[in-house]
Amino acid sequence: MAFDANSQASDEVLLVLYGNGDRAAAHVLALRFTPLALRVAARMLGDGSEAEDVAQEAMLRLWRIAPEWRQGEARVSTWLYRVVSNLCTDRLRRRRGVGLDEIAEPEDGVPPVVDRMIARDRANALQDALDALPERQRQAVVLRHIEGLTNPEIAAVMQIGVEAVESLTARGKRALTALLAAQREELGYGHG
Amino acid sequence: MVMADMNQTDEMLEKLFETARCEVVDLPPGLLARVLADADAELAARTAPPLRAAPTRRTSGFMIVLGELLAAIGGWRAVSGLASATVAGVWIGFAGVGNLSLTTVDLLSGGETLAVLNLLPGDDVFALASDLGDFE
Repeated sequence: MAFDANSQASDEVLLVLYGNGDRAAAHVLALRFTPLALRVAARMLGDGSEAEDVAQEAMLRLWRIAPEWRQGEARVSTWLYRVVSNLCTDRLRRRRGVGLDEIAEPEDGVPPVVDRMIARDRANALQDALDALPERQRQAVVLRHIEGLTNPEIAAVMQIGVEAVESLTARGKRALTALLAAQREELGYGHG
Repeated sequence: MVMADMNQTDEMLEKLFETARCEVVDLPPGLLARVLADADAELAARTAPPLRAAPTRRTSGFMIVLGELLAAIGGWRAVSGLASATVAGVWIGFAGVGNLSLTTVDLLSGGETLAVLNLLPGDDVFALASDLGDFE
C-alpha cells in the first residue's frame, strides 16, 4: 500500500501498518511526527542540536513500539509528546549535574535575560522566558499554549491530574508574564 | 505590576504564543533521512529470518545420527545383510567346527610344509614329488 505525505490514514492505522512491515507507512509517520518531536524538544531544551537528538530517539522508540501498539489505548501524538517530554526531562536533569565552573558567568550589573533579549527577536525572547521556568511548568505551558493540547491531553502526557495541569499552566503563565513585562517596549509591544 | 501593565503583558504573551504556534519548523538536513533509516533498520531486524530454523517436529539427536548413518551405508537392506553376517559369525564362534581336513589343520596350526605352501611347482617339482611319496 502506497501513501503520500497527505495520506488521510489515521496515525494509529499507519503505525499498525508499519508494525506489520509496511515501509511506506513509516515514511508518512516520519513526515507527520518528526517536526512535532523536534519542535517540542527545541522548546523544552532551548538547544537545536540536543532537540535533534531527542527527536530522532523519540521516533526510534515509536518504531520499536509499533508491533505492540494496541489501537484505541492512546493517541500516537499523545504517546510521542510523553516520550519527548521524558527525554527532555532526563537531559535537563543531567544538565543540572553540570559543575558550576562550566556555567557561563552572568555579565556584571545586567540581568542576563534582559541583555539577551535586546539582540533577539520576539520568538527568541519567548524561548528565553520559557527556559527560565521550572521544567514542569515549561512542559505544561509549551503543551498548552504552543502545541495547543487540551488539559486532559496534557494530563495524559505528563501522567498527572487535570487540576495539577491547570495549576502548572497558570503558574507558568504568570511567571512568563513577570519575566517578559520588563521587555514589552523592547519587543515592540509597549504601546498596547 | 499594575493591572494595566499586566493586561498588556498578557496580550503580548498571547501574541508571542500565537507566533510560536504558527512557526514552521524546518527539519535539519539529514534528520528525516536518519529517522527513516532507523525505521528501515527496525523493520529489517524484525523481519530477518532466525539464525537456525526450528524443526517441524521434535526429533532426538540420536535418531538424526542413526538416520544419517543408515543413509550412508545403503539403507535398511544393507543393514539386514550386515546383521545376517554378524549372526552367522557369532554362531560359528559359539558352536565351533567339526573335523577339519588335514590341509586345514596344517593351515591353522602354523606348521609350514612344502606340500602346503609351495603351490607353484617350479624347480622343486621333483622334491615335491618325493615328499608326496613320503607322505603317502
